[in-house]
Amino acid sequence: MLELSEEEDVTKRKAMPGLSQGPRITATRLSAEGQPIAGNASEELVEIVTYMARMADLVGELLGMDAFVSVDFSLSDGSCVVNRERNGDLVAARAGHAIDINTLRASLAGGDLRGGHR
Amino acid sequence: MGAVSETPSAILSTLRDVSGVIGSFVVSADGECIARDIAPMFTNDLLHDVGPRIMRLAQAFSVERSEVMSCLVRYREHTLLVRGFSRGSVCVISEANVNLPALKMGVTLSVRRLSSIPEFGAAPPAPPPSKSVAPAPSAARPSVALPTKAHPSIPVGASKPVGAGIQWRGGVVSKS
Repeated sequence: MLELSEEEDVTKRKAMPGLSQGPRITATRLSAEGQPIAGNASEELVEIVTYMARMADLVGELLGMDAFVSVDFSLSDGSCVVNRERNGDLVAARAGHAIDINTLRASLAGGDLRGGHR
Repeated sequence: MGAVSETPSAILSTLRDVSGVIGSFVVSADGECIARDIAPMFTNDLLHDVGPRIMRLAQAFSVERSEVMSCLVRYREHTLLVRGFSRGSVCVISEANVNLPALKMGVTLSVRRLSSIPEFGAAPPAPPPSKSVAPAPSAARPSVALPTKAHPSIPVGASKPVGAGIQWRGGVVSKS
């Protein structure tokens, strides 16, 4: 058998399967004014969340149902969950089909966005 | 048997079998309410205003080239479920404590039955191009006269051709 030196052994080591290419959750926390506070979401997702929040509020207002509390989207390429917290912040998470929408919702409830790592 | 004589409002009324459902309506792809089974306090004018906003809500992810198949909006005391199909979307208003799995199944069945009604089913295939005359760009559109009133009353089963708007998954929508 071919023996590798210690250095070669390390450099040729493969990444753990599923670690770098595994299911990825994109999440963001927005202020009530729509300013990003935390998260790793793209600018596009931030815009989507603020826009859909406004539309959901308008629909609720017209139908006499106040402001929305949460929205679940089932998408062609995954899902997205948006929660409005008591202080008005919007917390959103988006993922592909690999992650169940309930798992996505649980990830928001878990408070991953409280650290402000943006 | 069944589906041939069913009206859209009769189909929508079956959703009331799910405890907590207040009412439902169908919004076309361009936001017009085309069928309803909901209390008169939700006037046609009100639904006329709500429809386009619901469709815009459903279009929110189009910038990501993603299609919204359904969305569930939870309010403090109510829930709005929007489920897309080929001709628009079914919107169901219910109480917050509605049995969601039962409601989702009911909506799936309703969508299937609505799709079996010609006015609500998939858009007919475009006619083959004429050999002698070049078709005009609008030739593929159905030649159904659009309602002339700005706020038409919503007759049960009425429909209009879908010209533009969101493409729900599986839907056939021509983008203008």
